[in-house]
Amino acid sequence: MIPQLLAGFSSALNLDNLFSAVLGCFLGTIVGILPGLGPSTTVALLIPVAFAVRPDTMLIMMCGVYLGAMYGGSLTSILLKVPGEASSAITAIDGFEMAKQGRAGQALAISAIGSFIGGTLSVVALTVVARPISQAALKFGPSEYFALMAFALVMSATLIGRSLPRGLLAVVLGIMLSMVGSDLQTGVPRFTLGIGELLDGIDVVVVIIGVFGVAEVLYYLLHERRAGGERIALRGRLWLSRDDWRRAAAPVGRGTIVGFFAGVMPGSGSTLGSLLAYAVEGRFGGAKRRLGGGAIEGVASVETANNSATGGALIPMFTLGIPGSGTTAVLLAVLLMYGVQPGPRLMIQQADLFWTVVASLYISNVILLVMNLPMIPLFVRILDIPARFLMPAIGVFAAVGAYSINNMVADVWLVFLFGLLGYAMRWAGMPPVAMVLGMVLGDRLEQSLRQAFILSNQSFAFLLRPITLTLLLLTAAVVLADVVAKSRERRQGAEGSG
Amino acid sequence: MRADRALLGLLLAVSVGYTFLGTRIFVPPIVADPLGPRAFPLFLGVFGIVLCAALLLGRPVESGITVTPAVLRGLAAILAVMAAYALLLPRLGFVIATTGLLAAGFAHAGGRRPLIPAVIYALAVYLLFTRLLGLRLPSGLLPWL
Repeated sequence: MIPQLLAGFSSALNLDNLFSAVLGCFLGTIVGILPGLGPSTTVALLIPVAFAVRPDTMLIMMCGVYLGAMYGGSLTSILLKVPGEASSAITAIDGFEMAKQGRAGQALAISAIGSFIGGTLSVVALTVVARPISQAALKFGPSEYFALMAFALVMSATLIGRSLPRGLLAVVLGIMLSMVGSDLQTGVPRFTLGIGELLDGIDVVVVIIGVFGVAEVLYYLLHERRAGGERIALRGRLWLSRDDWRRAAAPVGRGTIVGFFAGVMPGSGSTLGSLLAYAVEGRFGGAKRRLGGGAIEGVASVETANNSATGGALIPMFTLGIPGSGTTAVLLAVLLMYGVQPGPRLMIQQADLFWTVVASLYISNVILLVMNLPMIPLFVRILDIPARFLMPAIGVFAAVGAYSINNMVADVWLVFLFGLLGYAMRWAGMPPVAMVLGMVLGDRLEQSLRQAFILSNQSFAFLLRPITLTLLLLTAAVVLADVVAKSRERRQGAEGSG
Repeated sequence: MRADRALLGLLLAVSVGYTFLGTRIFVPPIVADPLGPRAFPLFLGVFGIVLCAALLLGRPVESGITVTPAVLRGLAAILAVMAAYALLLPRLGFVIATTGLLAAGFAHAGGRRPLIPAVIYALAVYLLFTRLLGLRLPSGLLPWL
């Protein structure tokens, strides 16, 4: 492990890769700061860059964006009480209070430092567990894989949106889209409506750019009518007193652990990680009473957790080929564009690529810490750019990105169409991310089901293999837990009104 | 909320259509693949129908989005602009079509001199894609670019 990681560092530190890490971190911080623009939108818009650079350079840039957005999101939360990212929404509770008390500098400092510690420790964990997990997964047959993907998709459907059936519908829609084209095993055309171009299927990248790019633009233009609220001027030193350090240490530790496990779980990631970390702080932390009134503990744990989730979220993507969030789904789609087969074999076949990216994550965390602390006053100015000027520019970038992939105007129409669909899904509380996850995993889900069926002599006996059965029972438990929770909620609601 | 019902209704229709097309998938007589190319898509279609129907019978969700007539008018306007852009892109070329779209967008956002940033941005993106990334974009009326 150590020699591979060192080799990874040597290739992550070459000029191209270092530059792309810096660029990715910078872009990520900016989109993190800007409300309404997130890491999944940004990495989706970066896809055309893949044509010009090597896979490692591309993934390094995209991971830099991912990490940077987590660092940048806190700034808007603390100074404006408007989260730059969903994952920083909780930061606003104590962060904005701190800013009002003239401690904005300390809040931003602990955000950056906590982010660095959480981010780095989660990469350490990724470094250590990636190989054992992929080794174990190599023993998985199609039936285990099928159950694992089903579990991941149902988990995502539950955790991303507000309701399990709506999340599931989004997932099913995504899988439906992935069926279009020639069947991989028999070559039979499916759902092509007699259109020759559809024989190759619908390009997942086009769907991603539409859903993460155009849909976000539509949503922002039509629904964000934020009056320029109160903005707190940046005051207070960007450094921490001994007392601040002492109080923040334990929350940072708890945030790291909570965030990491939230990141590993499909469908939860940074946002749930930050919620859980705050809940843990309220339950077990020493600052229960002060929480909500500008406690540094509240900022420290949340900002640590949402960064710690990044390393966790990369684990299932790299070791199993199963992404659990929007950004990791784009990373997977980019791997596929390069012809890299995702899954447990990636660690063997693309060992150099994997270790280079892991090494770059350490580097990017250092870059972000160095970039964030002194440059915070500069980044604050970005908030002066009104987002409504940015949105048309982003829409254009999405359209041209889609065109450039296959040089087809038809893809521009498709991107607009999927943008409209992704936006309209929000009307019904259906998470567009769940559709993308369904589409990314759809054909592998079907193929593994069919192979498992063949391998078990054309019977559904494969469902009873121990690991498969365990995973399927877990999936059923997730569904059941959701149903029970919802019905209890409903009963309480009825009692409350009656 | 009506927007919720409308989308679920549309998705129900899509699921029904999907199931119908699914029944017409040709299944080659290959013994090696007993489940075949038809079973899974059919399951998806039926599952989609069940989910849509159940959600339509249940209560609408509080999605936090209110689709007012003003929002729909805005959406229609943006869609018209997007359609015009997709139609004009191959004819006028990227730089001209994009300048037009952006100038309209900036003007709508309240910019005072929308044309200048629009031209600069369109040219910058064009050069970024064609020169730096080596991708092709429609040059249209400006073939020398």
